[in-house]
Amino acid sequence: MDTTDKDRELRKMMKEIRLEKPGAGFSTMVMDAVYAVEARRFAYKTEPVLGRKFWIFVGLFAILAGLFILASGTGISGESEIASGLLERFPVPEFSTLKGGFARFWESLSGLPATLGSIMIAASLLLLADKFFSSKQAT
Amino acid sequence: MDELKIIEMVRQGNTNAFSYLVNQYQDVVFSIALKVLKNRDDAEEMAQESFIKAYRSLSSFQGKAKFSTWLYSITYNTCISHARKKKVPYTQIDSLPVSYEESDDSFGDFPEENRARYLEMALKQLPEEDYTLIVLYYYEDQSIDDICQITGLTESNAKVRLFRARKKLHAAMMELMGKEIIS
Repeated sequence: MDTTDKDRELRKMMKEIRLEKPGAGFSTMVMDAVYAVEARRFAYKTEPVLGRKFWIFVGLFAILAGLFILASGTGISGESEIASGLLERFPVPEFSTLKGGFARFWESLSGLPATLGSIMIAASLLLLADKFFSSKQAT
Repeated sequence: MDELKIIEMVRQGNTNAFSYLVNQYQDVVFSIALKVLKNRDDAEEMAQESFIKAYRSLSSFQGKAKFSTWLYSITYNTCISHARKKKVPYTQIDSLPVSYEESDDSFGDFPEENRARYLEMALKQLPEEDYTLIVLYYYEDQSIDDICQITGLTESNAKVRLFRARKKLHAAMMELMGKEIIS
């Protein structure tokens, strides 16, 4: 008897046996896990990269920044005037140390329009990235 | 139903269709896992893990090989990785010495009424790598090429291992039958 015949013989015998089986609820357990994977995948697809809270924060910041510029009354023309204008508008305590610190703080904001511009550009880039990644996930 | 159609249905978003594949292959996946891990709980866990891995990467299944070959390859590798992590004693296929010896190992000698029972008992006695090869080749009708894909063996090595595994199986069956006759 050659190997091919032995193979055929054993193959025939193997069809008669029963392999070890997993527990009764195995396929249900696997499918539950598969549904969980699918649910996570779906949630990931529909959830935007940048959440709602982030956009509320950006919106509020933009509104506040706008109000700030309007309140300064000088626009973007005189950067140091913004600081001095604000010092006049806000009640500042008479303590000289505190006043000096406050003045230094507003002085450091002298480049505000440029900062605002950068923030707006960065926010736009984030918005673009959000749209891009959201569309990539959806496919 | 055509397996490739089912796979396509799953890819299109019909998750329920995957249950057909689970029902179709769960016994072989589980029995390989059980043989490697030697523990039913671990085997069920790793069998489940194998199906989930297959589901997750179904988009990468190109249909060049059979789905079963692809799934068994995932199962085999998942179970071996887990066995290594848990330090389950496992004899790697490649670490065994190989030799060809011709002898009479005809399975036709066993009485027909008992041979399925002897075969099941003998299979349980086989080391994990022999068991895997026998089940894949004789039960699942996987080709030598498929077995090479699943186990990572070379073609010649797979043939030699299979030859040896069959001889071991025959010897185990003979021993079981001899014991039963004596008792």
